[in-house]
Amino acid sequence: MRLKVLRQIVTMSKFAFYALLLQCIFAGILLADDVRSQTSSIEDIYVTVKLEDTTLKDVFSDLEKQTDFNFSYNQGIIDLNEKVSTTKGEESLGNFLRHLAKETKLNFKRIDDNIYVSKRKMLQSSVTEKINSTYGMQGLAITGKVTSSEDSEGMPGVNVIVKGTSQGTVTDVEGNYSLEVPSEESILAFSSVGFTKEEVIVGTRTIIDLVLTPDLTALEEIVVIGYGTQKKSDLTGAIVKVNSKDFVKGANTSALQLLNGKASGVQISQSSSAPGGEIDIKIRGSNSINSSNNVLIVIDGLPGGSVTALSPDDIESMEVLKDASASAIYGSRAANGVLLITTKRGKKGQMDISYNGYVGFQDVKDQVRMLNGSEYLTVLNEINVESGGGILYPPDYIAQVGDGYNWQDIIFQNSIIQNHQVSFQGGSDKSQYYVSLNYLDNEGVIMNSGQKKYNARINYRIQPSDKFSFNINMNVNRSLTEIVKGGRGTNEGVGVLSAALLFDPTIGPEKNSEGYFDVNPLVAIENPMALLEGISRLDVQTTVYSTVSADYEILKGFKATIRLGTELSNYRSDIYENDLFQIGRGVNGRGTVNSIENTYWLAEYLLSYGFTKGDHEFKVLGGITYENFETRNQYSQASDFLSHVTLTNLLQSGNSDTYVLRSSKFINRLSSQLGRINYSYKGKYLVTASIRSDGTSKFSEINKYAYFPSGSVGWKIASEPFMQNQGLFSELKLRVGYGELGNQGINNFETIQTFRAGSDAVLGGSLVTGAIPARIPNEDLVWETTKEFNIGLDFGILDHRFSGTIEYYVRNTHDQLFQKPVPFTTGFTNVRVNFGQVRNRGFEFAFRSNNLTGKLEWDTDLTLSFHDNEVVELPEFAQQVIFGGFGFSGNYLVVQEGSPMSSFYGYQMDGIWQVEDDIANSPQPNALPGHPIFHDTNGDGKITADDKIILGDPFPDMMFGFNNRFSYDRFNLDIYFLGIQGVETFNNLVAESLYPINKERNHIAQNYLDRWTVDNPGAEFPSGVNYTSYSDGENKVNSFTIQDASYIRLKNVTLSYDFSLEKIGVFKALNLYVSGENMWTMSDYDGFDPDGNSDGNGTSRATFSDYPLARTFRIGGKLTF
Amino acid sequence: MKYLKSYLIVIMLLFFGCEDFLDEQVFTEYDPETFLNTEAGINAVLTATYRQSRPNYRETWFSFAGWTTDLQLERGGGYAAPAATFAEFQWQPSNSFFRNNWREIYEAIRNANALLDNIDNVTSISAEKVKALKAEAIFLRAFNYYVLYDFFGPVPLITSAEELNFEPTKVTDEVMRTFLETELTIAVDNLPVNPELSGKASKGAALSLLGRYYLNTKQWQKCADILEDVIDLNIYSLFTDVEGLFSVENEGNSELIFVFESLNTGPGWNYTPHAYPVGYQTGQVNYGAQFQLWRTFVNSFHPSDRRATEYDPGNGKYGWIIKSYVDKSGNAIDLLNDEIIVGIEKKYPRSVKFTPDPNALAQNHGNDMPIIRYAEVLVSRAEALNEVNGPNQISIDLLNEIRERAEVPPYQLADFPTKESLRDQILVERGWEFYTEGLRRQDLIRHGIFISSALDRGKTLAQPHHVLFPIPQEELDANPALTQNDGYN
Repeated sequence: MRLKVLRQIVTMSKFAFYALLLQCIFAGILLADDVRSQTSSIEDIYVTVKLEDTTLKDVFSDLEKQTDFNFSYNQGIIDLNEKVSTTKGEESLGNFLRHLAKETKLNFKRIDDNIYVSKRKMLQSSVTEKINSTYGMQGLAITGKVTSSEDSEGMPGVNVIVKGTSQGTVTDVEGNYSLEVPSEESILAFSSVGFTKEEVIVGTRTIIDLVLTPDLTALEEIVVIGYGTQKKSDLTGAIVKVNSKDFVKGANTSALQLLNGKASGVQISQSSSAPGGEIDIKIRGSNSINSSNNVLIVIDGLPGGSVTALSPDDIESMEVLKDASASAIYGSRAANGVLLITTKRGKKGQMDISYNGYVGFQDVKDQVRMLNGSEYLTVLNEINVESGGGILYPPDYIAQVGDGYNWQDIIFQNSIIQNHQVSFQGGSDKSQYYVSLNYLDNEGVIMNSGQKKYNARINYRIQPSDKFSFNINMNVNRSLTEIVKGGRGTNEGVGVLSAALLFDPTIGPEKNSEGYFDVNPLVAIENPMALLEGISRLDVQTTVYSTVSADYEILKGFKATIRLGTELSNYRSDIYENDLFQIGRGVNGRGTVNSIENTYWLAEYLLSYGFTKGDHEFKVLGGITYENFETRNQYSQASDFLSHVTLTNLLQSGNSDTYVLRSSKFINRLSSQLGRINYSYKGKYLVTASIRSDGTSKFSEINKYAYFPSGSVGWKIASEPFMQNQGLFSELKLRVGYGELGNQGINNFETIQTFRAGSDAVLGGSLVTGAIPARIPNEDLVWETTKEFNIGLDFGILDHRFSGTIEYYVRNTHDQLFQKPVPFTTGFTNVRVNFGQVRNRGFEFAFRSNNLTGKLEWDTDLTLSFHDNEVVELPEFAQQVIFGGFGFSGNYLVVQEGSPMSSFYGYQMDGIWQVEDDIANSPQPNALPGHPIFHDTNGDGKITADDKIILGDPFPDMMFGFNNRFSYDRFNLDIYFLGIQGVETFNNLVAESLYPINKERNHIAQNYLDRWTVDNPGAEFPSGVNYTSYSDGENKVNSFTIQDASYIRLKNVTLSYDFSLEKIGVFKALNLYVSGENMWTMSDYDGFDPDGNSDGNGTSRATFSDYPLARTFRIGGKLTF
Repeated sequence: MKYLKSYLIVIMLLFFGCEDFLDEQVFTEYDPETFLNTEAGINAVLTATYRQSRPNYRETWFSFAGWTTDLQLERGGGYAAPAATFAEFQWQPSNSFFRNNWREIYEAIRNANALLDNIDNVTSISAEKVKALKAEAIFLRAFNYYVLYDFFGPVPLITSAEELNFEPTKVTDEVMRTFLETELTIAVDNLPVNPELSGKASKGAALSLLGRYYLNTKQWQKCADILEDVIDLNIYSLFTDVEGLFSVENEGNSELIFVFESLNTGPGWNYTPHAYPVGYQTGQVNYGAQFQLWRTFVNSFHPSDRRATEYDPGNGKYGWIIKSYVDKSGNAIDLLNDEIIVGIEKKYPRSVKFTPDPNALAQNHGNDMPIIRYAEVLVSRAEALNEVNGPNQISIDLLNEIRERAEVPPYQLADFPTKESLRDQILVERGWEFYTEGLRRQDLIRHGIFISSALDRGKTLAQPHHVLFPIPQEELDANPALTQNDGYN
């Protein structure tokens, strides 16, 4: 404080001579009231200026000498060497600054004793002032210095505001500030463009020094692109960056969940919500009919990195390369989009230790209402009577059964999820480190399921010299997952949850006198308890990945990079089926061990050169990469054990006749060359062009290599002179791009014929190995090619109070790697060919708005995308490809021209036949009243396969994510909704309910409580009498079973509070929060989760009582030392 | 100099990797060029053909040829809905059973073709061995085409794996018949009487199959003659212990002409879990899908008929039918007399003629799957001779061979005044002898009563075109040149 006063004294102008005198004399008084002297307006303070080719730096320094004011500016933005010439006599500082503003396109804003200099974006040059309103107020005087974490230099122009008031100041050229605050509880908010906002509680301190770190989310943030980085404002492709602070909050166990709804056009869905379940990501829909639709995930430069073997807390940011111009640099694997994940780096400075953790309580919010015990027996009775039979169960038995057993209550549990992460980071000028340890324990909401995951990461950077730097990233992950039987099996092979739904509700979970669980022998479904206790499965996966890269700056701007990377993963699954499970009992125990070892390595060499010449700025990149993928598998199974206690740990104690052994090894390789040029003219016309050549071992000699070019241009309209006189747009940039991408997602050996061991037969009393031809080879196969056009507009309005991006794209995927169905008479089911074209089109919007600033802050983020998928062209030989099978339902999908890929294909139901209808002369002469009416689409008076129509498609028409953040004092509230609209799914649970494979299986309650009877003619659902006559083959695929899977979900609500722990000393910060996840979902879908997909990560969509999504309440916090 | 060094390193690295970096390496499969030129390769392809020829008995014997006929029924479990579909004559071309069997059969044919295409290139095998291997492949191919012909009528005839035909058409009935007869005749001429391994095709198997073909195509004289050739081989005889005919311990007995062998460790015979009644006292797998016999059929046996003796191992009875049992809860269940509640029709007798394997593992019993046995040769020859000559002593004697073995009173020629009367009785006799062996549909069709008997059972949807099944819908979708069978459009 005293220093500040001294400095002010020294810089006091001669025009305030008497003030200086007074200040010297009454320094003590002024100490408490040091702003009084500056309360005069800049209109009242006169200066004399004579400038002749004087640099701004000298101007400011002259003015600082003449007045009490300090000039504050960001040296990176304001060109201090700009020269000005003018001669003015004595005039007011205000007038002079206005004049200077016109000449230099600068804005001046006075706040207290500082004049903040900024670059002009607004229409009008402006010189504004805000005179300290704290004048006369009694408070605490605070001083301090703000420095940048990048260079430890003082930062001028940093706004320092007392939170919740309009009091504030700006740091001077050296980064110093001083101001008064009302009390010890006051919070100082430090902000500067390009740096993270920091808030500090004053406490008892009078000197508060602060280090600001660059904020990667600001306008000038750096975005990771393929094989490099770029300033966000210079981007020409459709790239979305999601920063850690914007990640989806919640008990997210996979990095992909952090993105859900946060990037427009990116769809995250969960094929299983089981702990460790698979999560699917799709960028701009699906392009490939039969080939892979997997997004390429690149973690710290390592393509194909395992996203599940990564602690979400270690992620700094994720970039989605959406369009072809951005992703073409990844060539043959980029066809479905690229996701770049960047992990946290160490920063210079002393070591920060932080702990981040939560405990969550999970349950299943909504059960599927099945028939209870008495309803089940009553329905069986009634249908049997209506079918001409008698009463099966007497009323007194039904009364005795009562509600029976709710199997969902039995298998579901309230579970606990907890996550703990400790990270250490820090470093010096020469080296920085980030080290973290993570532990996740995720109990499942179904008994006996859960996952434990351990993760360790080291990111280390060494810079022995200015020219040389060395980066090491290493991640070790081990997961142990207990898995209950799930999936889409049928009969005794059905999973626990499906069994719980379909099992006889009159039989309970108790063991019988023999020590086994009872079953209803007619339903052919195992007692769910037997599935839980009779089968144990533990999957253990250890994944290590690492990259080592060296950068050497050969000449200024000319850099060489070598990167070596590897990912090693070992997966082992142990399954033991004991005698509590029927099948295990039948074979006297069965043990299975399946091991898969994946080895991947990458070697890449990059050269980049960047230089500026006048208004021209160039960046050139070239590189080559080699990649090798190897998979080895070993599978052993034995049955008939001496004892069940050894589980899978003594397979040799099984009966040797039952041994099953398999092993395999596959290798494929990629070799690529790539190049890119970035050019910008005057910083506002931007051009990017790239090319990649890929060669793969999967294609035959004639088609091994392919080229994937791209180009894009950007125009920063807001930087044009004609935009200088408007105040609306602070940013306006138009981008147009085109690129080509490849898809090599075929299996090994598809271009060559081989014979495969298999189809063993018993001859002469023992098993003999057979061999069969593996496929119809096609040596002409080439890469599937996606050509995409993208146009985008980035805008910021009213000094970025509102900002956003609008994109439109058309992507055509040609030469589809098409599984052409061939007649079975060939002895094969299909052959891979290149043919067909699929088009994806869509609009994407992302908006961000600061609705309220001040004491109550309110920010809104909205992402919205509209998508349209269409098969544009199909080969002559396959104008309509009908496929797919699920449970007992077949052929529920179709690919045909003019419709979305994998559309749902089945019968439209037109209601229910009534007693009075003329059924005999209808297209269904054999139907009974109460049977469903099939729509006779072609009007030929018969119901045949030709009457099937498209009943929906698996692509959402619209997806959105809607986030609101409120901040008041130290409270923060974050409310996040997301949803998808216009999407359908095949609901196999409904198919099993309406068309059971035997009627003793339990049913969805409403399907039967509102079934047609003579007394309930207005029912929605058919009678269930002689239902096999309307449910053979593909008839089960119809407008009952193809359901709308649209939903709106309150994904997350988090309330957090920042504590002041300054007084405790060692703690730097503590933030505590409570949050709720998946609290509310609105959907018409019958089942646990409209977003579930039992078809995994394929294009299609189907559900069958998928592992339910948990509702989670969490308490957590972050503590920094 | 320092820079130069850096450049050199980078340039050297650019040339990392060699020309063959992108060659496709195969570790787990075989290159056909070399593989098919070895005896081991040819044998492996033949082995796979045997495996692929093994019928999916649940779909072919029971769904196609069982529930559609008059002897058996199914209730409960995962087969309830499909069984109802077939019992009620409601099947559609999209029914997956048609697709599955069509596909599996053509895969077996593909393998046989691959062997026949390549075997002449193999120099290391003796000419005699080549001849025998070819005959086996030809037999298996004909066997499969005959299954297709039986279910679907004339189908596309694919005889080489080399030139793939993506739009083959159905051949005419005449071409189909000529092919089957010619091929089976080649097999008869070239197959060994006593194959070196059990489970392999033999001359007797080819003769018997040709006889079955002649019978079902009503070429009576040819049928009678060819089946006489089987008898004249003098290596087959009726197995006297009728109850143990299909047991694991009696595998390879003199009555079995052609079987697909099974192991309890798989590939196994999983019929038995379907035969065990509800709550049956067994530690073995017992499926929910209950495969049963109508009581009227079981009651139609002569009281002394060994083919209908009871299976009650607790009381030392190992016959072919479970008629009563005490369930796990201690209830005595009488499958012939307990009240049948409409809607829970699971109290019907069970065929366990494939004697349960005490060493079964899970659903897999070790019983070999019988395809052709000597009893069929005798009864079919009796039927053919009746069609040629009317009732005759040879026919009666042939029938009496199996009746004597079953310990039921022999037929007298005088009992049968007309050809029709003997024909009708032979059909009845075939029911008693061959129930649950997958032959009933053929028999009813041959006797012209497949549809009429269904109508008599109240299956009002049965129509004349149902004697053939539809070409699978997916096959029609994939091959525009193929036409659907009449009545299914």
